[in-house]
Order: sequence, then structure tokens, then C-alpha cells
Amino acid sequence: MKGKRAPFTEWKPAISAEEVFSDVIGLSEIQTEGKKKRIGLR
Amino acid sequence: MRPIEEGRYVIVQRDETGKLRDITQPGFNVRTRVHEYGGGAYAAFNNIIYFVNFKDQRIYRQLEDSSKAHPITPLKNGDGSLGKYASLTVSPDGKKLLFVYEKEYDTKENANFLAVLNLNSGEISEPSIIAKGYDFYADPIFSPTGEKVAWLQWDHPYMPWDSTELMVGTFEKNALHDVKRVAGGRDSAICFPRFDRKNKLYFVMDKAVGDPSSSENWWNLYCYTDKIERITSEQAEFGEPHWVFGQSNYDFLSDNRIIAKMAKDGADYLVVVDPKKKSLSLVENDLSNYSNIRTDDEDSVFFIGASNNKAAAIYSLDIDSKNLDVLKRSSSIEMKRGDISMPEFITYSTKDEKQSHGFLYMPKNSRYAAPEDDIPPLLVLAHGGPTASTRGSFSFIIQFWTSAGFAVIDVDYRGSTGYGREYRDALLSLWGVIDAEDVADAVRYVIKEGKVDGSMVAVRGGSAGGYMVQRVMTRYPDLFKVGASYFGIGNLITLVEHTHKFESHYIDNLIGTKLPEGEKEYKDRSPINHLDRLKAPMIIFQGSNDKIVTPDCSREVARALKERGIEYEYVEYEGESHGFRTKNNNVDSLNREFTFYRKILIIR
Repeated sequence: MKGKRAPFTEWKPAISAEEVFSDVIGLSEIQTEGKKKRIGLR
Repeated sequence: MRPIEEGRYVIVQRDETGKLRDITQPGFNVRTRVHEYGGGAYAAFNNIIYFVNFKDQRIYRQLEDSSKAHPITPLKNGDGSLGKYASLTVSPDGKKLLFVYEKEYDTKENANFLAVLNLNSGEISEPSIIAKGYDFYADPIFSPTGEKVAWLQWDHPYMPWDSTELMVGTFEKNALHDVKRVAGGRDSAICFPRFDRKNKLYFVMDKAVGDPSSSENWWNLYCYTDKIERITSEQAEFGEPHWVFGQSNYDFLSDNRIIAKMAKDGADYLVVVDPKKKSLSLVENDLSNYSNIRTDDEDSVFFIGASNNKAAAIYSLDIDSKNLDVLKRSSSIEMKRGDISMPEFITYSTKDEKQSHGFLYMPKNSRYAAPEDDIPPLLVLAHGGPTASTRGSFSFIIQFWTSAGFAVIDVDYRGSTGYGREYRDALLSLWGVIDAEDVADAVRYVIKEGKVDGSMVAVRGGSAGGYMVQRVMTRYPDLFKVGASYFGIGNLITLVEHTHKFESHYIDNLIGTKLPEGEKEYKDRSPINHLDRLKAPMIIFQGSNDKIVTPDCSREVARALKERGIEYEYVEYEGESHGFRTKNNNVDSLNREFTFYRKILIIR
């Protein structure tokens, strides 16, 4: 078994709150235009 | 949307070489406030972009190779109202901009219309109203020839997923002629009207038929020429609740087949529908969540996709080779496989011998191994809406909790979408009753299965999910030990008094009566009036600019908790609205919530 033996209540997150929201963008509303394969994203 | 830029929305262009660049310049934020939830805030035509700027809600015109944007609508209308615009679409000849138009008044209720702007002059002008008389309009589209316009409309007290009408008219000389209702009416909910390349009108519709086995009970694809023709007959959903404008669940390939997203049993599937043969084939890949499906003229399909272990990204799919490319990821952070908890879709029996659904995630963290006889604490998630759903797709927030040793159950309580009309409508008149029972039953189910520690159960949710938090903590005070309410509804009467036009009768349908005659029922369903039953501490988060759940609502709950001597924390973020958009506030709230749970569940 890998990892340190510890009750669930002693586990620390594998990802910090900072990382949860780090460099994250919300993606929405794709638009395409004809044959140029251009898309808008946000 | 960029949390790191205070939640600013930016139009980004990907050119034919794959290069990405920001179209939207600093100082602009592409977001509309129509219905407060917005959407459809930009449209592109040739080399011109039209967009709504959040600060002043004006439409701007910008050449794609220019850094300058010029307003084409006024700051204020002649009647003193603020013009707001959504669901922007350009006519095929590029001469008209068609949109949903909402006039916001200081002293009376907003008014909604369909309207057009002439694009020839480039001068600032008020739009020309082409449809009025209904409380709401959505999804206006031109036919490929520009001769026809189709749109959705509905009236209070209904929401767009209750009763909508699909209308079509001939567009000529800045006006609609020969307007007729194509489909819909009482008990029919229509979404996503689209013209195919041959000017045939398609749409997604369901009906309240009271029979879950009937395909009419499910959001299926239809088309209209001179009569309505059903294209799909699945016990699955091609539609979605219309909360925001500008969404797209299907689009057309060059041979007029349809590439569509279909939701069934808690997962999304990408399918190709042949409308002639009325057949359907699955596009197989490892994704389980799709949105914003668009095609180009060369049979490339673009969509936002996610899976159980992959965060959302924009993909392109070549329909012939089935080759799938990632064009843009929503995050550069990659978690190790050994740290990612995969969801199990569960269906469980409810107290009233019906069924409800959810996604169960067990703790996972490669750095730890729990003793064999240890069972984890449980965190219950309740999605907002309530007419919405959760999808089991990868979420950094869920993985934060599962890697911190929590089992997580994300509940698609009755009233959720994706399981047919009957399941969705089950919540009508019973909000705060059967959904709360379903959440409690989900907890009892996983405790009974021996998967979690019933003495350590937390519950979190935002908006209607925050109402759920407060509701279950007051209805089942022995089941839940701590809760986190994000802009949650404590007092339904306060909510109705403050809420905006779009949702001003939503609550009436969900409660089954309206104010003032239904005051007793409203009070009974409001957690604020049951705080005497509350035993567990709560942390409350609120945005100071929230117009949907105003700060008054959350402050009232915090005050009541204080008066009763129950441990609580109230955090109000300056400038935030319904759903926090800035990175710092999101980080702060998650850290505070984690610390609060540890203090209540573990350190004590």
C-alpha cells in the first residue's frame, strides 16, 4: 500500500485552494465562422 | 471568464493557424445583465465583433484587427431606461443585429422585447422593437436566407422550462410579418430553435404528459415545415433549462445531419442524428460532459467538454476521422491520477418509494492510506437552480475535498434536469420538501452502505443549493453536523420581495402558492423560521452586490444564528454578485470553509 497511514480526518488536500482557482478560466459561448475555422471563446 | 482579472469576460479568437489572441481590450468586460444571468453577449460577422460591455451594458462594435471599440447604443434611452441586450445574432447579410432587449427602469418592472439595430451607419441609436407583449423572449435566430426569424417567448408565471412558445415570422423592412406559433404552449417547454442550411426549423421540446416512459416526457428533437415532425424518440434529454442565453446543444453538419449532446442516466453523450432516417449514432470518446456545440463549414465540431478526470476544455472534433483535439484548457493545473477520485453514479430509493440520483466520490490521495477500519466524513453537495443538474464531471473543488479525506455525494435531487419532465416537475409545489428528503435519503443511503461516518456529515451549496443547506439543517438537525451556505436563501419572503423579474414567479410555482395568500406556506418553507430546530454550526458566504439573493437574506440568517448562540461565521465579499468571480474571494471562501469544517467536525 502506498502513502502514509493516516485516518481520513488527518488528510491534507492534494491541491490547495490557491491551485483550485489558479489559472482557471470559465469557458463559454463558442462561435464559429464559416470556413476560416475561427472561434470565439472566453 | 478570468477570476484572476476580477471575473472579467474576454472574447478570444483562434485563427486558422491555431493562434489565440484576445479580441476584447483592457477596460472592457463582455457580459450582459439581461435576466441578470446574461449570455449571448457577443456576435461575430466577417471581421466585425459586436459585444455588450458589462459596465454600461451598451453594445460596442469592434473590428477584429483593431483595438478600438465604439458604442452603437445609447447610455440611456429616451424614456430614461437602461437598455440591456442579450442573445446577439447578425443577419446573414450583415446589415442587422437581432437580440433580446430588456429595458431596465428605476421605478417599474423591466420590459422585455425582441429588437434589431441597423448596422449600416455605425451611429449610436436605440433599437427598433420588433416583438412585444410577452414577458420574456429568448433565442432569436435568422433563417440562412434572412427572410425568417424564429424565437421563443413565454409569460409569467412560467419559467422557460415550464411553458414556452416557438414563434416564426417573416422579417422585412425592420418588422415581423405573418407571425405564427409553430409549437408549444401550456405544458410544453421548448429550447434551442435552429434553422438548418435548407431553412428548415428544428427545436427541442418536451411535454408534461405524466408518463415517464413516453418520449414526449423527454427533451427530444423536432422539426417544423408545415407540420411538427419528431426526429428523436429517446428517453434522454437533448435540451437544457434556459438559465442563460447563447447556449447550443446541437448544430448541423454539411450533409444536414445533426451533432448533438444527449443526457441520459447522469452522463452526456455526443451523438450524430440523421433527421431523414431518424437514426442516431454515438460518437465514442472518453468525455462525459458537453456544452456549446458548434460546427463550421468543413465538418469540424467545436464544443466544451469534460470527463470524470479531465477539467473542462474547448475541443475540436473532425467528424470523419473522429480525431479530437484540445484547443484550450480551462486550467493548466494537472492533478496526479492517484489523487483523482472518480464518481460512481448512484440511484437510490427515497422515503416515498420513488428514486433519486447522485454521484458518490470516495476519498483519494496518493500521499495517504487510511486504516482499513476507518470510514470517512461525508460532504453533501446540493446544486443550485434548483432546476439544474450536476454531471459528475471533473471538478477541482470536489477533488479538493476528496483528497482532504472527505467522501462527497453530489445529489441530483428530484427537480433536477436530465431525467425527463416528470422528474423535473416533481419539485413543483414541493420545493424544500421532496428535494430535502432526497438529500437526506442520499445521506442515509451511504451511511447504511457503511461507506461514510454518520457522525461527521457536512453539507454545502450555493444559491438554491444554499437554501438546501439551510433547509436540511433545520429539517434533519441530527443528520447534518455542519454546513456552508453560499449566497443561500434563508427567507423566501425576503427573496420574493427582492428578486428580479425573470424569477419573480419561479418561487410561486415551486412553493405551489403565491404571496400574500400563501404567506403561511412561504414562512413554513423558509429556514429562517425554523432556526429553533438548528443544532449545527454554519458558515455563510455572501456577495455585497448580489441582486438574486440579496445580502439582506444572508444577514438575516446570520443574525438569527447569533441570537440563538449557534456557532457561525458570516463572510460578505465587497463587489461580488451571485457566484463569486474573483480568484481571491474564491480562495478565501474555500479555505475558510475547510477550516470551519475541521474545527466543528474534527478538532472538537
